[in-house]
Amino acid sequence: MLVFESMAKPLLFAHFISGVIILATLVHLIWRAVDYLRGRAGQRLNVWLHAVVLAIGYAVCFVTGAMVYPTFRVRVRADHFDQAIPWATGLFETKEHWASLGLPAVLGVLLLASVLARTEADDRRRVLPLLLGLAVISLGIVGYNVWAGWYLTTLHGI
Amino acid sequence: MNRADYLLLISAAVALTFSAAYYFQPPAPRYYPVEHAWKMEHEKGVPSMGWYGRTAWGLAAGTAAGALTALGLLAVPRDANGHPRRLPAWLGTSLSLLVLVVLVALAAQIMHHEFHKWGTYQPWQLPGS
Repeated sequence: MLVFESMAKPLLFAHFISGVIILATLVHLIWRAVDYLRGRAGQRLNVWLHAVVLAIGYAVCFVTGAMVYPTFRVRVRADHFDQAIPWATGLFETKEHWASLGLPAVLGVLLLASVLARTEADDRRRVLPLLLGLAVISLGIVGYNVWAGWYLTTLHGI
Repeated sequence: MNRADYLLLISAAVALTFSAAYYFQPPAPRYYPVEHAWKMEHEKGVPSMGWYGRTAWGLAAGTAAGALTALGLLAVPRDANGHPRRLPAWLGTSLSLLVLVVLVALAAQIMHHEFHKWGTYQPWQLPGS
């Protein structure tokens, strides 16, 4: 029995649901940040709220993914993907590394969104380019990871 | 230091240091899930996982850089009028751009490396098709 193998399916479900939640949160966060840039000042607090939801959701998604990984590594990747469809391993390896790269990006979104919530208008403008850039990178990472996770599960579940 | 610049510099320090540690991959233990063991060696033919160690290095380096930057910036004195100092606008913009370029470049490098290594650029054929 592998570590966390007995809980792998519920963990995978929580991993998927939290992935979908952070994907939706990122779309809304970017939408509201762009709205704020276009002059709707009230959106700044919504950006902060979405950044908090994003950070919590990303932490849940990351930890549940890390817990499922040993089961996936042995029962799916080693036993099936590496032998029969190695191109699928390439999709998965990219997914796991991009998930790690999302950590500093999401932390940056959270820190910079706190500037929107608590400082003067001039200061808020200074952090918006990096905030939006990190949010777009996070959206790319999460979008790919949700798609790859879903697609790989259709090929072979745990 | 002005609050916006303070958080921008910490975010940049974390992202750049995490990326550097992730790219250069300092030696880290690998997890062997079948044996429930951690080893420094990479044994071929046995399922093992280097991702935990690589991510831990990135997190440790990023956290250390963020904490050192935060502490260092607290020591920056206020200007002659008693206001918090501000980062020159060109420097904030350049740093933001650098962070974004580094993250995108590292993501592209990782994807190319893995797709090339595992044949993901080739047509995706399923067994029996």
